[in-house]
Amino acid sequence: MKESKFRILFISFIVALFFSFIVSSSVSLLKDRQEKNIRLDRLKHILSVAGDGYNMKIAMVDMRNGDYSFVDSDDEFYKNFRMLATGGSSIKLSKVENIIGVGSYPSKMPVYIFYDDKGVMQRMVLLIYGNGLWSTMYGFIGLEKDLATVSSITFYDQKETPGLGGEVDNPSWKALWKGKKIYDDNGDVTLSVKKGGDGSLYSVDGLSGATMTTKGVDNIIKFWFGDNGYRKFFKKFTGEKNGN
Amino acid sequence: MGIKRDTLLGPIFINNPITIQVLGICSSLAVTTQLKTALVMGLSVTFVVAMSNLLISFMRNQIPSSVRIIIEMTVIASFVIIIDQFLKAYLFEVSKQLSVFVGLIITNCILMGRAEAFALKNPPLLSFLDGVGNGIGYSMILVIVGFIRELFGTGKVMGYQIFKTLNDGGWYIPNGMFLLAPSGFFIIAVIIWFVREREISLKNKGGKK
Repeated sequence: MKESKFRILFISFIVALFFSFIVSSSVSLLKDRQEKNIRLDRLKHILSVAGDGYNMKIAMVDMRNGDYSFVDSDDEFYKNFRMLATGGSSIKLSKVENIIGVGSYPSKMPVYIFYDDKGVMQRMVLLIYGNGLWSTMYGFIGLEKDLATVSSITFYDQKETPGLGGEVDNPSWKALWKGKKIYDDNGDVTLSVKKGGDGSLYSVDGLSGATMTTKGVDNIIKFWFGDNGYRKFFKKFTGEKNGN
Repeated sequence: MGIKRDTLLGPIFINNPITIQVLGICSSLAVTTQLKTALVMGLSVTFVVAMSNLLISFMRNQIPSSVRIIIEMTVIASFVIIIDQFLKAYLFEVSKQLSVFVGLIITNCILMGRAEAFALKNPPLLSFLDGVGNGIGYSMILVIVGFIRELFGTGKVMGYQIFKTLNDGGWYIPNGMFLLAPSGFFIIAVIIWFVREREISLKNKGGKK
């Protein structure tokens, strides 16, 4: 009697129902706190890339033409990121353009601009992301005021192989980025990330044993600093500044 | 009273899941580079194994034996998700460091092992104690390994500098090997060796008398 089919189904059903209730209530009860943690963690990454002592302003950049406007908060962007990145308002990429492997990206992206006390722009932090081997890697890259020199880089969300690709998060590897030049004198994206780079200002040594992750990072730089990325915005931004 | 005490303390000292049963080795290598992660991991496993033992034991007379494994997995997985969500909400930094390994508690052999071997056959309170005991036994080894690895690997304990490192103008050269997975193997192997050697010598003494 204990092993009748009905009984098996009944017990399994009760167990599944009970535990799905427990699991879903724990998830929904803790959601607010988790989101707050994620937000604080993101801010911490942005500030760690920018360095101390500046005032931060957030701008939303229209990726189609490089126009930008200042906003108070970027919460909406991250909350709706999935929709913005793939939904109707997103920018679709052709096969050739799609080197970061995500297919489409938001038409408006947040940019963090850091001013000193005199109101002079000192640093700029950009959101960058793209696929590595297993996961989409999300990070921030900080630029010096020439908008061509890297001040720092960090990845705040990635699920690459711990110990190999996961080393994108390793402080000593990230330290290699400081002072590297993204654009050459002609304004082309020249910075490359590959194993055994030539050690010049335009090359960052790749991660050992993580060819695909390294390639992913290389593509992220090529994409986000190209014409699909922030270049139009840079032109607008610097053009305006010179105009003044 | 005696049986309860034995159930609780047995797995901590005599029948330790790691040193004697050699279960749950994988995670004990991965999360022991720092004492803090080892401690949180140990507590998480203790919570999951105790609670899942308790609930499985409550249901032990109702669970049809043909689907018992999957029901045990459901219980264990649910508690793992709960602890994972809890860590993300209250211990965000640690949960980032533990990353996938919290989720991988599900595959920790101790959990299924205790559910199958103990909770299905024993009443709830005993099963709960058995879970707590095994969890603490596991945590104890993790904490010892985490302590050794963090101290010799970085000169710190719980993030506080104990040995002043050469880079900071001190005398200690951090031994990076302790932070790599193989050193986890070595340390656990030495602990197992020590525990078993002691056991053999105790037995021999008893024999001579």
